[in-house]
Amino acid sequence: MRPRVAFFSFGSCEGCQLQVLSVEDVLPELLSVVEVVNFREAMDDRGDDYDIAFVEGSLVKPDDVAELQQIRARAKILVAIGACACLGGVNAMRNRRPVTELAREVYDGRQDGVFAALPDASPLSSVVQVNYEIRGCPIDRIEFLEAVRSLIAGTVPYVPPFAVCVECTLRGTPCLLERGIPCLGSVARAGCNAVCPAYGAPCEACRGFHEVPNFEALGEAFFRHGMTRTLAAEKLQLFNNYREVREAWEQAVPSSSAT
Amino acid sequence: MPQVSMIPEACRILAVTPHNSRDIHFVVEAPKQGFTPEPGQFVMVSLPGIGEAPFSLAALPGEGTAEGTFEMLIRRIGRLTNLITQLKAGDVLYVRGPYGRRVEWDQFEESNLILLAGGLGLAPLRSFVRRALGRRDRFGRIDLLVGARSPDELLFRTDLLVWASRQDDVHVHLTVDAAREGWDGRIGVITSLLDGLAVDTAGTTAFLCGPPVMYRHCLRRLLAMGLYEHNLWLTLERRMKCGLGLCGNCQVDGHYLCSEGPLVSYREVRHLRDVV
Amino acid sequence: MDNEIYRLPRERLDSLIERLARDYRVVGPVKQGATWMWTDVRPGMPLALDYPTTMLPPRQFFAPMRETLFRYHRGDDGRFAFEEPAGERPFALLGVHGCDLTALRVLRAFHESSCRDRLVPGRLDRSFVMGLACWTPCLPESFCRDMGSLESESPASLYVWDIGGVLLVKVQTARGREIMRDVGALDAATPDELVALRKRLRTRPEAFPAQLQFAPEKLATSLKAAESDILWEATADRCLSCGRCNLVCPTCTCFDVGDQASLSGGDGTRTRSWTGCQVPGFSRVAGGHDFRPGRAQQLRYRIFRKGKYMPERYGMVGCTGCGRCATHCPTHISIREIFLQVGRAP
Ligand SMILES: Cc1cc2nc3c(=O)[nH]c(=O)nc-3n(C[C@H](O)[C@H](O)[C@H](O)COP(=O)(O)OP(=O)(O)OC[C@H]3O[C@@H](n4cnc5c(N)ncnc54)[C@H](O)[C@@H]3O)c2cc1C
Ligand code: SF4
Ligand code: SF4
Ligand code: FES
Repeated sequence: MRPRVAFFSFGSCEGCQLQVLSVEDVLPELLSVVEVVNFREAMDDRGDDYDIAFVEGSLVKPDDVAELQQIRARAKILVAIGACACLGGVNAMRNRRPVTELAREVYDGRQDGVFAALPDASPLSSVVQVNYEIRGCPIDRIEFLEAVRSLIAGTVPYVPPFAVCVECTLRGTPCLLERGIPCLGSVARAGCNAVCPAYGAPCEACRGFHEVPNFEALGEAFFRHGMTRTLAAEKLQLFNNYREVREAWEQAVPSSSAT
Repeated sequence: MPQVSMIPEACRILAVTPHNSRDIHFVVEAPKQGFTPEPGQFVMVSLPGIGEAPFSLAALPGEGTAEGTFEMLIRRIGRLTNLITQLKAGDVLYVRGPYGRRVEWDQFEESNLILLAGGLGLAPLRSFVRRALGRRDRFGRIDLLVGARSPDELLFRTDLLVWASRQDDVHVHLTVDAAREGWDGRIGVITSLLDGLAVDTAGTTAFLCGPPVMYRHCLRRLLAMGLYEHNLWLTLERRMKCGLGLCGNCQVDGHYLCSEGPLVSYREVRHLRDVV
Repeated sequence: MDNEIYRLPRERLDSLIERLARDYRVVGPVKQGATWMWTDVRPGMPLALDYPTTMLPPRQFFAPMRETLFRYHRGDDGRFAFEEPAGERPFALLGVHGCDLTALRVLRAFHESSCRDRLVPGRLDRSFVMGLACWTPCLPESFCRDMGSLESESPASLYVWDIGGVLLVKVQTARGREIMRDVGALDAATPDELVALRKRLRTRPEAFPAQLQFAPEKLATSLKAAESDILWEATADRCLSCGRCNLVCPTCTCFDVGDQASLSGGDGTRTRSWTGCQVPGFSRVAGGHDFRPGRAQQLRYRIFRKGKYMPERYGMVGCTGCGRCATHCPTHISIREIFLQVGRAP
């Protein structure tokens, strides 16, 4: 029997779900190996009976917690997809300041339409057990399909333990640091085939860190290429600002006193 | 060096016996061409689409198992083994090999043998025991020392029983790290089994295989007992991706253990870094 | 054949490329952005004879960065059948520096010793190489002269000196002579040109100041004496474990192997791709035990492999002094500086 899969979304741009829909060329094949019972972006029917739940987004609203717990209770396998779900992602940038303060600033004191928010935007793993993670902002469609393939075969998806630099170098991309561009690839986890540096955009570590990131050395690498160590800290805040993720680098990379 | 393709051969699984919830014993059809392994050698086993990994031979063709077949004990531990351990008789594994150094057995003749197997280490050593028992008159006293974490994790229990019943041929000593009720055997680490052993130091060869922590302790004891370095043989585990001396994952100080090992004497490797 | 030195007027390079293209896929150094890469060249493209070392080494043509070992397909009986990719067109590499020629010899020595790979040796045999003499160090980190690879002229069917004006080409194999004959370039160099060449070669070392104070053959013994961990730890603090040093190295050979497949698992490929001893996971086995844990041990391993294990096994030092690893390391960890420190150690 085809495993039943469901897709759910919390605080996010829903770009990861779109990535899934963008696998057009293999969609028929995908549907021949799994049965999709819940996918808001793509269908109206809702099924509550599923084996694998793919969940995107971070927890941002008080209701999110119970909803996720319910998904966890129903799913045999829960897979977090995307930076928001795995790391807190860009949502967690707000965690440095009180929500009320931010709401005042952003909405100029207006209350209408502003929904209640959790004090911290957080990854799924802060609330439930996550079986697997497919990282990235957005997720990589090939990696998504490979993960699906492993799960339906009955085993664990492969996660590369090494840095984005490995894939970058094997693509023949000249290192962006050498051009003074603040790239985080050397601490970031591979799996995206170093797509950003290949187009001249620095890696933002949207997939979190590889197994043995050396943040002191990252600061050093920035410094040696004419950038400040503080810049490394600023860059790291984009995707890796959730409390526990931040703890990994905070001591090692000096941030300017302002942030 | 003869050059080899990395294309595996489809080999049918003939029998499957679980030893416990995660360790599964397979009897497998051997590759058709040139499959004449020595104890200590290994095969690369794969499932296309999932991956490939090295596994020891728990029995060699014609040595306690039928000609044209071999045996493996595979532990469920990750991506590939999760799936292999779900296979049934009649399913197919993709096999290439044998790989690894061929150690001549003539050199061990006349010798007393001590075999120390920790946990999964009994899988490769089982083919050593069978080789020795198959030519019993050529060896002196044989002691098999087996350690496991718990009684449930003792592998190859049928073999252990059979061997234990052949006291004239082989002395079987068992120990577990932690026991449950009903275990009246020994409790303690594997080195403790060496305590009462009377050995003729010059005429004894020891073979070791087990988890990484085991080697250093056992070696220290065996050397203290007076065994010679060149008589201590270790089978060493390393990450192996090719078996051909190419991928480099198995290197220890420039030595490629997939082809210059995994069976090595302590004398040959003692000066290498991080070897045990 | 040693004294067969011929004149190749610069504009005839095109006919050379054209001639080689009949039998080979012709590649040469081409500038891409800020970096030089080995790239397909066609007649009419300016062939760089003054390029400062490519980022990725020429070994990519003998042991590709990602290579399909075989394809598989599940048949009606449920079993997989395997098929190896068809052999590719052999390569002609134009403009290979002494450091990279040396690296090709190291690659050959590695494959002739204990390695049983089937793919690389054939490619080494079938390819065509045109070497190119250097007159100035390619990179601030180059120390080819110290490693003895500056003067390296083989393996190459043709070896070129650009002495300004005309190119002087030494023919080193029968194949090289055949190619030169086909492009009609068998005019011997004039005595004046030979004098000019000799003069250039005599003064060349001045452009390559000595970087090490000892001969590379001493490395093995110096390294043995440098077991002290302090050296490795101090330098490894700067290492990111990014693996670039391995990947850009012309003498590294390590591979990872992995499978790709269609969703249903019925079709796919097994591929091997470059990895190295600085890449996380390289020395780790199932269950999580790492036999060479920590950056200091890993860095030490890389240096020892180049400076000690390789000469001991293959009779050639594993570092050619090309300077790539230090140049492309994000924190510029320099093997030259490490050798220097090691050589200085008592
Ligand atoms: C010479 C030798 C003999 C062995 N004999 C046995 C045996 O008899 N029984 C048994 O159960 N196990 C044995 N092993 C260990 C076995 O190879 C690993 O358990 C297996 O690789 C796990 O693969 P996995 O994909 O399930 O695990 P994962 O942890 O998911 O492995 C991921 C990847 O790492 C690679 N890898 C991980 N560990 C190892 C390793 N130790 N060696 C090589 N590659 C590795 C795998 O190829 C795989 O692609 C032996 C290992 C060696 C080197
Ligand atoms: S561009 Fe970024 S990812 Fe690529 S090698 Fe440089 S630091 Fe690494
Ligand atoms: S390139 Fe530099 S930082 Fe990266 S692994 Fe090598 S030594 Fe370490
Ligand atoms: S397993 Fe590939 S070199 Fe040893």
